Amino acid sequence: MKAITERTEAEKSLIQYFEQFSAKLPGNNTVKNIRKSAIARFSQLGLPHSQIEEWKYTDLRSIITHTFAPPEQEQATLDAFKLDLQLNHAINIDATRLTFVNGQFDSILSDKADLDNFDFKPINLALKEQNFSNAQKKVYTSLNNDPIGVLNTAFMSDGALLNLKSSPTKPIHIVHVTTGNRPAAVTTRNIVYFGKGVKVTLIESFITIGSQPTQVNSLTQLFIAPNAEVNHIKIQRESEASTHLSKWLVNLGAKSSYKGFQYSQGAELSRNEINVNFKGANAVADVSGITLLHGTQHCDTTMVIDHSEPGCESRELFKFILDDCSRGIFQGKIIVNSRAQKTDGKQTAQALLLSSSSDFNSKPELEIYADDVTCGHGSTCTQIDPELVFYCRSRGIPEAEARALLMESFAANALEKVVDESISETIIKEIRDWFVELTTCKEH
Amino acid sequence: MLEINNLCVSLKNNNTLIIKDLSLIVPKGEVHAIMGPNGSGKSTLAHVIAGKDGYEVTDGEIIWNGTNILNQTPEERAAFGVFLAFQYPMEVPGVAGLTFLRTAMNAIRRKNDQETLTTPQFMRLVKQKSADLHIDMEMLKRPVNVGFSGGEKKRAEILQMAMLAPSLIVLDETDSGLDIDALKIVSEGVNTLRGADRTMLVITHYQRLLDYIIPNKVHVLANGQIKGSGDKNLALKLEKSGYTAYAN
Ligand SMILES: Nc1ncnc2c1ncn2[C@@H]1O[C@H](COP(=O)(O)OP(=O)(O)O)[C@@H](O)[C@H]1O
Ligand SMILES: [Mg+2]
Repeated sequence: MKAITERTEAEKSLIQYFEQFSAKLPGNNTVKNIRKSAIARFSQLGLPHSQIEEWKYTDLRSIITHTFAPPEQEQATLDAFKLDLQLNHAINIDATRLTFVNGQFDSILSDKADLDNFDFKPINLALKEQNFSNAQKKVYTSLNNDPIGVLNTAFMSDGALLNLKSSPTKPIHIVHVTTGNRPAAVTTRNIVYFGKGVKVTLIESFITIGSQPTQVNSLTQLFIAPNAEVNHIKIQRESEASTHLSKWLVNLGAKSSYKGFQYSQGAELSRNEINVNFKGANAVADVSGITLLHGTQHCDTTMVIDHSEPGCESRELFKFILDDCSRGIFQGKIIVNSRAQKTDGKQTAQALLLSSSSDFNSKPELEIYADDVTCGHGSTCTQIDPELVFYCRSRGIPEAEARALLMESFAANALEKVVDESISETIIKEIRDWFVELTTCKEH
Repeated sequence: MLEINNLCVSLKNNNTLIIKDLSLIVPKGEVHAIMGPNGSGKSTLAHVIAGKDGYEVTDGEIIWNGTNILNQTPEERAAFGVFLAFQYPMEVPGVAGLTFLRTAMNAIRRKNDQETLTTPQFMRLVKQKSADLHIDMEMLKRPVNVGFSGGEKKRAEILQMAMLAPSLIVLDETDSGLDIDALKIVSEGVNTLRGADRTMLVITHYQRLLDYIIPNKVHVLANGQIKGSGDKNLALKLEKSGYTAYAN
């Protein structure tokens, strides 16, 4: 990659914020050094820009003109009532809640009683522990070529460290809430180890209270041991003053199964990276998502599925519903290593354009070095079929309801991927709320 | 009573008339058949009655129960009792048949200030009606019409009709694509709905359907106009002689 010598104001201020705040960021000396090398790496890389293939459609270097300091460690102004209100339908998910407010673990807003049942530690405490093994070190330093990843390492303030040796009785729900009392950059890191054969549902919600601009950088690393079954769901409903950069790094052991799902409707700009790495044979990954955008929202979902072991199966199904001048992007890369014979990979991205000004870009990429594989991709861009609208209306269904029904119909097979009923109910209610809001906006 | 007066219809953005000064009266409780060659405007007439977009009514009126329905939206017409059984029923992926039916029924009931049905009430009704039409309940759990055979689609249309219990029914070539057994089942379903309060317009290309749904009157539609009317024997005559006599 060509080195860029001229730094933008935003890049300079990020580096300056690090100098200003690094002393307050949690961590032992090892961590402090990791952070230092991370910001040094960032100053080499700079913000990603459209000349980098993976960032072709999301030129952060030109989009991000303002940066914000990490939030002050203020006394939390958030109470359980406000939080529940903002969680909206997600309060109906029966789960053990781990709440992070402005990037800090909030034990009062978390389900402490359940916590004794499994090994949980806020990452800010883990980072301060003195005996840091090389393996632990590696977890934090493995992202050296990813500018957003190194920023995360430099600035991470907290997150969930979970070590699940047995199956918890309930899903675990990590809630990231930004209160937005002032503009802030919130950086969190979650690291979850799933033991052999455990069955776990992990939910991540991202919400904001208040309308101040926020920049969220969230990185979740999953280490899934052989035969484990993991459901991983993300619900992103941040305010439209938010920039949301998220990355999932999923490592799959042999014969494990991973079902990932991302529901994305918030943030003015969002980038969802999902990297799935098969570390053992005969594992299955099924990743899907629904993105709803309006106004000038921009959402970029970029995936890399790395088949480095034989006999693994990967499925991706992403749906975008795009209104007004919004823009949806799906980049999906499937890499099949030469020893990954009998790989079976399929990806599908579909967009439903509700307005002629909305835009969808889909870029599939197959890099196949093995011969005995089945790989495929497909991408479509459609509009609501007026004939179908008429069919519904001729049965008495009012136009707005008919359109909502058809949007739901478009999203249906992605939503079906969410196996937990209380979670899929939550998401369908969010989707319906979004449709209602859309039509009431249009009527006024 | 359905009263169509001097109806003229063209496509939007195209001045050529498809329906030309068509007038027709169907008294309440009667079943009238409209027969005609392909391209004569049968589906266009059906669509305009149901309120489909894409057509321009340049003249005339369609009066149903004393109201000119031409200014009503399709959903208003449905709530007002109008039902069109489509020549080509649409597939609605991702929406279960039961959900679709219930959404439609409740929308109509709300519009007419009736209470919406509870789940048990709805299920009881749908079980009974689908049994009458030899429709497996499992089929209704699947997305509307997706993967259905031609005959299954037509039976599903008649089920929607039986559930919504409309007062003005337009059947657009409901017999096309049906084998004789399916034709009998569908006809039985239609006949069950016949009554003093229901008015039906049965559009067909072939006489065969009219052996099972016996019309009070038969009209010949050719080139966008009613070219002749008679009793059910007219259909038999047409079957023998074809439509050539009505060309232009
Ligand atoms: N959407 C359309 N676009 C172009 N031509 C149409 C359209 N709908 C109907 N027509 C024309 O109008 C005439 C009548 O069509 P239609 O009502 O479908 O006839 P029928 O149902 O009797 O076979 C035909 O000549 C047909 O080609
Ligand atoms: Mg026709």
